[in-house]
Amino acid sequence: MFVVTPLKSPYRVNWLTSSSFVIAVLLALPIFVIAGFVFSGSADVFTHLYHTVLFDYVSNSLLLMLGVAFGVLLLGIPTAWLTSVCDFPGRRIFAWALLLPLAVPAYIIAYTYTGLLDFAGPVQTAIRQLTGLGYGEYWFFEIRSLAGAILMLALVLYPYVYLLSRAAFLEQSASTLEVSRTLGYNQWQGLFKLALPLARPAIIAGLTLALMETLADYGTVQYFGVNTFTTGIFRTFYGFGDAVAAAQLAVCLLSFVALLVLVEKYSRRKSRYHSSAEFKAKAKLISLSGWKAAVAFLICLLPILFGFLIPAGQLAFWSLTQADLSDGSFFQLAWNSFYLAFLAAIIAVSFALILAYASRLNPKKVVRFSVATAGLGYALPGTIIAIGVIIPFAWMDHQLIAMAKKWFSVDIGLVLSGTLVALLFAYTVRFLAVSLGAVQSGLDKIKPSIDGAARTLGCTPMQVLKQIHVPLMKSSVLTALLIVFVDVLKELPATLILRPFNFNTLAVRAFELASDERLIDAAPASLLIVAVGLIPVILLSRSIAKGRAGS
Amino acid sequence: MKFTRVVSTMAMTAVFATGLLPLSVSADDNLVNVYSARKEALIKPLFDRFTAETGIAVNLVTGKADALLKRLEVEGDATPADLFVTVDAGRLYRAKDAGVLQVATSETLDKLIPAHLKDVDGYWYGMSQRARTVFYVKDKVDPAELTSYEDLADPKWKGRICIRSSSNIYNQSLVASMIDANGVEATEAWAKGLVANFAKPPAGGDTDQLRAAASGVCDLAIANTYYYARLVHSNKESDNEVAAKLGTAWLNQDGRGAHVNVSGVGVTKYASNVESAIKLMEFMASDESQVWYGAENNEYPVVEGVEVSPVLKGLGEFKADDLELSKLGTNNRAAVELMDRAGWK
Amino acid sequence: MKIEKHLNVESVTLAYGEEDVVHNASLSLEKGEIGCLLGPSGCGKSTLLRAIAGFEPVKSGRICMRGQVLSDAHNILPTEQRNIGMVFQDIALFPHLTIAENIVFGIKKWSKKDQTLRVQELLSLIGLPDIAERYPHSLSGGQQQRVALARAMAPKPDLLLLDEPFSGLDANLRETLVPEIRDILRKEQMSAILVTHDQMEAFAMADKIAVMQHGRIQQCGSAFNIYHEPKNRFVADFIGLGEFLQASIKDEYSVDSALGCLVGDEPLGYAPGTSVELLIRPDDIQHSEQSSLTGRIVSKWFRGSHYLYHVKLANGEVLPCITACHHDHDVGEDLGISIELDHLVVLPICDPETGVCDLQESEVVQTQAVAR
Repeated sequence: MFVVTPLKSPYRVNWLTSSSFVIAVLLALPIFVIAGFVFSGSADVFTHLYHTVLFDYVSNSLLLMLGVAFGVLLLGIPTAWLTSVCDFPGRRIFAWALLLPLAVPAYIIAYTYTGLLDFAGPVQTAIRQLTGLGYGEYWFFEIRSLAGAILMLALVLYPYVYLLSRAAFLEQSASTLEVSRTLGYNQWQGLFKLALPLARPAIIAGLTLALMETLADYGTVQYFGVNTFTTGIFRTFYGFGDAVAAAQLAVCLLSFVALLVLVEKYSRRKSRYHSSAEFKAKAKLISLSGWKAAVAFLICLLPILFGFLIPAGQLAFWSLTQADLSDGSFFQLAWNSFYLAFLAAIIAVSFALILAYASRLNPKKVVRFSVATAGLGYALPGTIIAIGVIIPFAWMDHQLIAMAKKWFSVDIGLVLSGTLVALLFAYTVRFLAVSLGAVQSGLDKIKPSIDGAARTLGCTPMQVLKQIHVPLMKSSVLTALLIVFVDVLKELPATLILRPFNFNTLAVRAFELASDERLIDAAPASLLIVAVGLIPVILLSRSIAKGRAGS
Repeated sequence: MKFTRVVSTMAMTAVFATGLLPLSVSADDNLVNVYSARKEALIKPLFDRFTAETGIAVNLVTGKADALLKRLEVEGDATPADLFVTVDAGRLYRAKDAGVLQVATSETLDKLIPAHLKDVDGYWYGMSQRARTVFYVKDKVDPAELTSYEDLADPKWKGRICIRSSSNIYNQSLVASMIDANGVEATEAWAKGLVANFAKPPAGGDTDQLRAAASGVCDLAIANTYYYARLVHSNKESDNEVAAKLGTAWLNQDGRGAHVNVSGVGVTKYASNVESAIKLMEFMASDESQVWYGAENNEYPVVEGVEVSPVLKGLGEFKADDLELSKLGTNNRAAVELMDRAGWK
Repeated sequence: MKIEKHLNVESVTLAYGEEDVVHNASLSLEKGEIGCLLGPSGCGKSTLLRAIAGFEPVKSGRICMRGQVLSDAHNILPTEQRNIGMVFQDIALFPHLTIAENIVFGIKKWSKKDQTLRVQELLSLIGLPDIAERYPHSLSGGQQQRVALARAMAPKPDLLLLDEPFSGLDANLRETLVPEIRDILRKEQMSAILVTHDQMEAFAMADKIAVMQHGRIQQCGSAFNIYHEPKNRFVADFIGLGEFLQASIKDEYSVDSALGCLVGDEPLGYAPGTSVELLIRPDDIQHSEQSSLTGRIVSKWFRGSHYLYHVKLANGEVLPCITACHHDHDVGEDLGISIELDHLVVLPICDPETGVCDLQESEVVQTQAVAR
């Protein structure tokens, strides 16, 4: 019979909102700490920079972004479109292989190409020996330049655009494209008039990720001697020993990124829709043959060749022939890197799920603001994030130590800031944006009535998330896991500062050797980063493809 | 559903694996905790030897000096670190200035290490040293032309000099030493002249400058001695060839001497294991370690009378600038600012 | 003491932010009854349904079922604890689950045997006994909607809510599915509320219809009642076809109009001389070759079994008229008509801009509607 259930206050339903708020504020904490520096210190450094190098920094950063934007779009969109709409030899392999450059850290591809293309490298040496020309007597692409940095970053960052725009192309139903043909557009016109505009939110989301990563990049531009705003931050930090001024510069960077994100949000807001595309009829692939197939093949091959095969091949060659392999701790390093990346991916994606779901259930402005703020971490260099993390964590540690001394009279040491807790937290802050983006777009595709149906069938909001949403957006969740995993694997600066005693990762090892100008000895660790990153790229991209194929 | 279960199982496994790591490192007589800006490969073997000899374990975190310094600052009295190792005197000065070091009294160290290679108040000691000097292409340059750092700004070197970015601490220290010798204005004029002589925009590291010079991009490369020595020492033929094409020029031999810098170490203010820490410092200053620095890192010893490594001997003897190294720290900011003004990228 | 109905919605006001979207709505439902919220889109009917489901909080008033308060201004019982089933306009089957898994979703706490039995029972009830292992996307729209109904009924809810369940389906399917689903609900003795903008659906399904406009319940009653005794101009307009003639009250039972003096069978309740509007339904006007009363045909609409004409009277007013199929006339011809009215529907004259009516009568109508 009917059981009378006691009434619950409306707040009972909103526990999700409040916990998401707590998570969002916690994750935004490092950003707030950095922003707080604006109110301390003096403007001396600013005045100096303004009179000397600031213009250079800003213009270089803008040019870099412009170039990388152009590059990732040029590499990402055509490949995404070809592999999702056309059929040509190798398409199935390209579909996942185009993700491979994601596993190559930008600073490592920069080291590798410098080794190859530098004046003293094998390519130019060979040219000189063949032609008998000397320095300055022939033109060769100067890899250590702004153009070189753009090229390197575009080669490893285009997969973001590829991944997201491909998902969008795949979702466009057959009927949309057929409509365009009944309206008199051929397939190619359909691409520009319909497919691209429809995929625009996804393309811009991918572009935003690539550009945020570009802004955060320090390793590549510093190595190439390109002075950007980010190198300026570190010059201020390391050169002047002025962390406050460095943080102030970081805030400038942040405000710029916030603007970028707002533009992106605005462009996405306009086309927010719940597509029921998951189980729509698949568009018939456009079959390419002859020279068209050859061109498509080349277009897809080139990014993989230059973004993955050549650098990985070079690393493998160095590792096998010249590198010093005497230090046999590679298995330990690989394991450390792997589980750190794995844990961080799980944590970041879980948080992203809660945050995205809470803003779906209850779109409170304050929650959205905190979530957006926390998402800005992606554009900040890892070192700055690390400082933003360690300051509040050390403070909390001191409180904990005082409490433990008072009540239990034991010295517990730094339980937060000196352990993996701080590191995992920093990763979460840094990579929340990527996981949140992927999860949110997956969630947006689920019709609200699905939630309603599950609720009327007795599910609590959390059960809806677990039993309905997560299985339904499996591919989005996997994508988020994959990106965070690979990003953490490559992450260096935060790892360097926050890791506990005697704890190294592949990225740390590769960096230590490379920054000691032992590029060749750094090759085995670099290659292992790529290899460890490769496994999930392949596994997950296959599983994503399977999920897409329907049941 | 199955997917969720697989993921959660893996997550649990990973969590348990993490649980095996020590949560924090506490005070223990048989332990020294080190924050090191010196790369692991260049210091860990020494620590391993120390552990083998004394039974005192050494925990190590490496990282960038300023970041580690920041970590020391915010950790305050709870810091687990006992020693702070850097690869330049400027950062040691910053650490002292930030109040994270303490005076570590050791008669042994005071006796072994000459005054200009340690802090006046005893906050830190230099442990190894290197010079930053000019390497010239033997075919193109007469070493007699190379007299002083000041001379590098002479228009006769136009388009002939390779040097890395001014973001690098070694260049900052060099300029800081010149500020001490000549004052800010003269040094700025010098920097402008030097920038005008660059063969190419600064990029890459010191080794890259040496390689560029050897392959014909420029005639002079400014680099630290150990990078050159490493090329000599290398088992790769191409490296040896680069080294063979270059000669070492010692500058200002009639005046203040060649610019030198040290890697050094200080005991942190809130160290829990001061005694062991000092023991480790003394070990680093022992003859055995000093020789090791030369053999493995191609650096000069700080302790008088210790044999210089054969490779370094090949570079010839030189007179070193005996500038009090703390000055490198005090002048560092002015150095960066003047390089900014001079357009040194 | 007031007798508790199965469902009571008592003076409920709902708001989105600052804006009230449903004002002071009341309705009730007996056990086993099928109710319907009928109105144009944006009238607040779906919002009211969602409030009953527990998706929307109540600003004032309260919603009770079986004597238990589900929602009031301060408390809200979570949807999942209400024992209410719901069928959605866009069907909302879980695409990753089979039909059987979809149906079992709400009864997972039952024993495996009971679950299987219930699935079989429901699948045969909806006439699709063999689809248990298939996935939603392999079914047609009508089949999916029947499965959605089965899924919602599986836990034997106290109340079933149907949010425009047929609007996504084509007309033919709708005509067969609507009575089918009504029969299924009857068989299960399910209390249900249907939300629709289609009066034919409402008439075919519901025992009781509440007509809504601008967030207010305008009238509540049986289909017959609403059609033949609309309480205001909106209801009269929205339900069925019809035109209004200017008229004035002659006495207690009769009015004067362009059609002459018409006499009804019930008191009209207005003072003699009052200007009113007289509702004329197409079936009130018959074609009569002999009639002296004629009108010029202004439009003609073939409706299969009959023609629907609109004829213009001498004074310019337009009337609808239904004729049998063989009475084929052209636009512009004169048509003889006769009046077959036994029940007069007179309404006060309201300003179409402001909605303000001359008469006190409108107030009476409003309060009556609310009190029902």
